[in-house]
Amino acid sequence: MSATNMHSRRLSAIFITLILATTFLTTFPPIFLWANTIEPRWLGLPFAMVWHISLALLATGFFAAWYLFESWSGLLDLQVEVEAER
Amino acid sequence: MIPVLSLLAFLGLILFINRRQLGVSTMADYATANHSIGVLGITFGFLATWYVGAGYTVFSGFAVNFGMIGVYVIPYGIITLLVMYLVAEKTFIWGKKYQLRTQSELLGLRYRSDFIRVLTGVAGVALSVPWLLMEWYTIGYVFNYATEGFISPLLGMIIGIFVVVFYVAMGGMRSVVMANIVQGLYMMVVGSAVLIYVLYSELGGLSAAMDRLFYEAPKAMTFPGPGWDVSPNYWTAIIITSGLGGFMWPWVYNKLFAADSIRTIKQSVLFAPVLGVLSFALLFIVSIALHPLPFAQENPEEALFLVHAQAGVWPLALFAVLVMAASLGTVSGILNAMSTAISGDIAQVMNRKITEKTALLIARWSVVVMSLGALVGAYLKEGQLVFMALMTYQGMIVLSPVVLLGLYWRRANKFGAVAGFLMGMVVSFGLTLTEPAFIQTYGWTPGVYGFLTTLIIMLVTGYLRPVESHVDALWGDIAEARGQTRDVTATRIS
Repeated sequence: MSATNMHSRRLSAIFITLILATTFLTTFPPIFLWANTIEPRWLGLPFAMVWHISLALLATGFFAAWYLFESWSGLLDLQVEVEAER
Repeated sequence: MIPVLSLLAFLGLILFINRRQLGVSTMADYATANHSIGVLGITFGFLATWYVGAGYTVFSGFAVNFGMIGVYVIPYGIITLLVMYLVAEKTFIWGKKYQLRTQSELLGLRYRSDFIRVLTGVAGVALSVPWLLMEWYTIGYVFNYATEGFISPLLGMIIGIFVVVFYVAMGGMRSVVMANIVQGLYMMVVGSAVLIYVLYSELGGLSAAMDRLFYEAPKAMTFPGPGWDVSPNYWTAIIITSGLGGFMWPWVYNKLFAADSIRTIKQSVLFAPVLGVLSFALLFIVSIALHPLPFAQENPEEALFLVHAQAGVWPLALFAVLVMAASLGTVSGILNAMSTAISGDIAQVMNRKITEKTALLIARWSVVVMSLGALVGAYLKEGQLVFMALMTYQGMIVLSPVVLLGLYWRRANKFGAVAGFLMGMVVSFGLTLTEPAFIQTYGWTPGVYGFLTTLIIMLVTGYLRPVESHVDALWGDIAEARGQTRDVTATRIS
């Protein structure tokens, strides 16, 4: 496996971990229960709701960074030859 | 009069924008639009298919009743998009190289098994039926409500069926995606605007609505909500089952085969979560804000309609079109995926002599027959539709190990996939139907047990048997495509 390939795989693993971490923070019962409170409120919204929406937006940021990394690395310029006619 | 004219105008618009897409003449074009759809089509294709019309009735009713728990849709959406991002590359490469049209065909290729292709094809069709029925019912309900009973639910369903069947049968994936763009844009722009308008005109704005909730029903602001005692594991379970199952629906997954490039798919993963999170959050904030109001408590599933009707005839008309757009987007995606599966994954596998022309004819007639069958089912069984639709998620999550391990683990084999899928379904639906006490007390939904059953069987059989001989060639295809990627990069640098 080439060094470039290893590098891109490692970075992809980091992005997957970061996105899964946001999911973990919203679903793992002890953390989820810690955040499951009304106060502090923001724009009237309970903290529980702000917590989930914020983490979803954070995950969106990670998706964007991952995409930019893949785009910059040329990983999205796949050339696929069609095998045969049906 | 204005609401019904708005609904008819929207249906007319869908037919008008599709007038040039109706001449599809090959099965490949019908099923995948010849891999030609760009980022706008894929993004809104996902959103319009994913957003069900019942989200504005049944699911918003759930949030009206129980408050904050409705927000589970937001983290579940992130898991679904991660699954989409992960499966995109290999699905695209094999899909394009071998001219695949459906998720089941992909699994048939990966596991080199016609049996698993037919099995997952049949399962995909069967599990989609309740959603099709529920969305037909929603379309009939929208017409009935918007006309104050003048148009019966049955007549409303017939009007909706006539339009959808026409453009799906004649235009296939191209028509579905073209309609999805209009439906998705409407849902995001007009739909969000009308929800914000109602939030401020009828509920006094975000802060005032939340203050009312805080003083009158503070329990609705946290999990699990008022009048409900459930384990926190339930929260974890519904997010994971919905998140992993959400992208396994053939009508969502098949959009990957329509994309023109891997870049298109991944760009759509960038746009879809932002649009999805913002609009889902808005829908559920309005629904939760309705919780303290007596009329909403009496009719939670009608609450959004009632508050829009209070706001005036135009908000009601725009909202009715919003629900109609969401329903049409889902129904058209389901019909396209089901008809492709019946024709390609079942008929053509059982009889290899079926030509592409005949396959297209079978797909088109499948759309007509399924729609008429669903019309009867939706009209007769509306009371059980919600229960059946939610139950299907317990089956869909069982497919996720078959897809994900198949794409990422060389050792995954057809024996594990078939045995795991069947046993997982038995466990999942067995627990759903028998409802043993531990399901309620521990909080995990039946789908989690089904998922774990499938996963364990696939892992065990994967280590018990050698790697199947055809797998190296498939992995070679991926390496080859990536290798050519490196060449592109090198050329760009030089």
